[in-house]
Amino acid sequence: MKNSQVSEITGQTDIDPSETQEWVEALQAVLEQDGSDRAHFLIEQLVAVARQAGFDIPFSANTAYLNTIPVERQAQFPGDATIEQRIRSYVRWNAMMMVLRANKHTNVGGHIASFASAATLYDVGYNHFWRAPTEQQGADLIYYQGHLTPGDYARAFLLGRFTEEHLNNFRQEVHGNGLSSYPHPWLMPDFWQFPTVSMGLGPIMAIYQARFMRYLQDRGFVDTSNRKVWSFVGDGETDEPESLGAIGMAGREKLDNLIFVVNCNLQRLDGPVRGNGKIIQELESEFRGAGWNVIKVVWGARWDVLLARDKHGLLAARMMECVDGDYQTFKAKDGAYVREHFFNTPELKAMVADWSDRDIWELNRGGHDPAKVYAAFHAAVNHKGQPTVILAKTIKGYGMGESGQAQNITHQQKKMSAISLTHFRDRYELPVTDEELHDFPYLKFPEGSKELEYMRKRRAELGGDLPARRSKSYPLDVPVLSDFKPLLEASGEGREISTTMAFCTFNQYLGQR
Amino acid sequence: MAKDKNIGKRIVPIVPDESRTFGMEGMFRQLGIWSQVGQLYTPQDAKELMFYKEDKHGQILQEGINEAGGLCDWIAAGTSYSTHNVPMIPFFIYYSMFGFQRVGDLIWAAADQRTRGFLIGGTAGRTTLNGEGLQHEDGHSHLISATVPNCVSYDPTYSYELAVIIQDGLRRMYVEQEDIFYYITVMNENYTHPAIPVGAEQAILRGMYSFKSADPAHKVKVQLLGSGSIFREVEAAAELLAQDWGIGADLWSCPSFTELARDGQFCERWNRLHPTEPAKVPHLRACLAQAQGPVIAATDYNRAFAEQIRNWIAAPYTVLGTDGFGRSDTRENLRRFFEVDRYHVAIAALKSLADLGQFDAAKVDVAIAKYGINPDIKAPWLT
Repeated sequence: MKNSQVSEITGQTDIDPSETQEWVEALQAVLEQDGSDRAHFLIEQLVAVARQAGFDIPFSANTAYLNTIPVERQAQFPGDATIEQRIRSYVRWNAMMMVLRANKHTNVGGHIASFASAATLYDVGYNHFWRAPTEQQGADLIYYQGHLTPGDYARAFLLGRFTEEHLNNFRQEVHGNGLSSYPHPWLMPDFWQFPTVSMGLGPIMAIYQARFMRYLQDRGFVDTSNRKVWSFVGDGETDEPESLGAIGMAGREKLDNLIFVVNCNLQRLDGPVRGNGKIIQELESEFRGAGWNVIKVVWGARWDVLLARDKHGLLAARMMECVDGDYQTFKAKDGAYVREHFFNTPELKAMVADWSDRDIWELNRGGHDPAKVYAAFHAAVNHKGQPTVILAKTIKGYGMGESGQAQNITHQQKKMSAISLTHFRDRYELPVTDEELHDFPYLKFPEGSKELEYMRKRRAELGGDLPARRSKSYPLDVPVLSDFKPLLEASGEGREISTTMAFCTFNQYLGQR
Repeated sequence: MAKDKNIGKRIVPIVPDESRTFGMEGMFRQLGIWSQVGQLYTPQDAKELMFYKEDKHGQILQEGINEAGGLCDWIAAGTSYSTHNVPMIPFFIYYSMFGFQRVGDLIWAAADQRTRGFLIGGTAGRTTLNGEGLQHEDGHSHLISATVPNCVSYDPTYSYELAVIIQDGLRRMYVEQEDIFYYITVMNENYTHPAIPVGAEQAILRGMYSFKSADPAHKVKVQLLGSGSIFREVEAAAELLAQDWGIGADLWSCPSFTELARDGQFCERWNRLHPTEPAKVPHLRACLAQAQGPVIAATDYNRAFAEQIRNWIAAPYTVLGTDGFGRSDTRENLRRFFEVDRYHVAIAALKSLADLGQFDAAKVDVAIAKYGINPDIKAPWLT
């Protein structure tokens, strides 16, 4: 613990470091003996006493730039990590092939880098959390992030829901059997439920959806109590006022059936989301201030060993000090660069002295670690009394190498160099020969393979395929025109009304039925 | 499948804090405002008949000053047939200026996701909502609603038009399960309403019906079209033309210029691609087939609204509308300013007749003077 720090809240310097040290040690003793809940209680008591004495103690909505869920509280990942990794690699590959193929002979565009950053987030959801409707359960409602559609299509292809023809027709819809650029129920009415593009509309619609489910429940129409609404949002997307405009309502209404996952890949279309700051910290305070449960998934498991050794908080302090612009640049470089520029003091360098550049390069981000993501999702679905936001730190263009990983140009990238493609294939150990590479081949798991069985079993246990949309419900018995007879007759001499009043009268008749 | 005999409880009234503006506060007590926690306080007006009632089982969604939120409620309720297998009937009632213009992107998303329900644009019309001024007086929401392919829009004048339109909307969306939604503008101008003309229902839905035919005694005739509250100015213009100039006017109420235009476009396309088959005749053209004289239309919306149908009108066609920025004044002054009052409609009719050689152009000048119109002031959209 550094005693010479200036308090972020009061702006004061420490006038008596030894006294500070006594308080800190007292707290450490409580933490060791009685745990964090007791420590939290004591701190709240102290703050309450100070407030009663008239001190103005502002609320700090931020925590350290670390994972919210400590290692010892992580829910155990129940999946087969090896099989899931392989499935994810195929999904990644096919998603990329779709875009590359579509842009070989056309100019229809597409995005590779966004899904590359979110593949793990989606995979954990599809394999372990998102329930489809069955006789026994209502479905979870997933507001998929609009720009990630290649990932959804690629997964549906592996499960046999789409053919190669469909994938080849990505963004080519006019002649039928096409796949729409973004989620559009009008164009794919059996597949997509929610249009999440244009950006910002997904999050606000998800919030009102979650509350409307409570309305249906309160009014006795349907039991929605076990269902969740998931909204996937880009960190750049949060700049749209609609994205955060209604989060206060979600907090006030205690919508614990609502989960936001913000894919914090630190990049927007033109450059960094917050080059000079940290988007995760900014969003943490906004959501916490609005009454949300905030779960930060910043660091992958490979950091755990370093953080466990960080007794003096030097690594944590460096993590907080470093800004997103640098975090982005690190992932566009290599291990040697990270050693030089992130581990930038003798103390920090010593922590990784016996690590190779490759080891350092493999220090992963939370949003790319299935176990960390699983733990966050698990905590979110079990949290009571508040909506939850998961702030997952990821890398835009993950795996694209010099053709796009963490590069400012990556959002628009729809082509890959042969060398990048080769690296991608090697990295994910995909069964594609050098000759085949030029044809942009799709990969599929054969019938009877353990991967295909695994995918099917996971979805079967969660109720079936997603996304899926119901097109028809049951018809209602609506009133006939004569039921509104008074409105069809003359209003009568001298009885003047407006069409607004006529509308109210109509509604009254309707309400009485 | 189970038929529900009671659709009343499926109505979801959604308001963005404007119920009192629209005179709808009676619903608070009658239906209750939904709140997850009920009402934890004694409302100030608790002793009154129509008090502000919040209720765990309430039916109304009160969003506060929040059109985006109300629209999201409306989407959630209007897609409930799909997401929850529970058809609900949402009515979102808001100031018409703050719908298609303010949250138009959400309406586009609603259309994409096949939302079924009613958008009710309250206190509509650039001159009918008279005191609120430039930012409130809507004269173009119907132009934007016309751009949404599965939005069916109406600007009704009389209560029976409204009843016919909403009843058919319920049938199309909740019996036939068409993936469409309705945009209907309603006004706050009070007047008496006649009974529905016999057999007018289908023509109302198609966008145009014969409201009143000219006195056969008149030899020279015009066709007058209008919608919303301005249709009543058009009716008054017919009286002026008869009394002051001995000219007969057939009156056509047009609850939807947009539906008329879509029907015209549909027929035009079909005929173009089937050149040797008997041509389809648009409803508008069928209505005016036997009509005599030039056609004049006036609405409380930009000219482009009634201009939509020009292609299917054989006779000379003059359109009056409220192009320009709104401003505060009396309805009478605003309609004079925007040149959509009865006098301007009459002048438009006389000039059209003069162009056809059926009326003396010099007498149009006389009429302009008689009705106190200054022909040399700036056009309203330039001021």
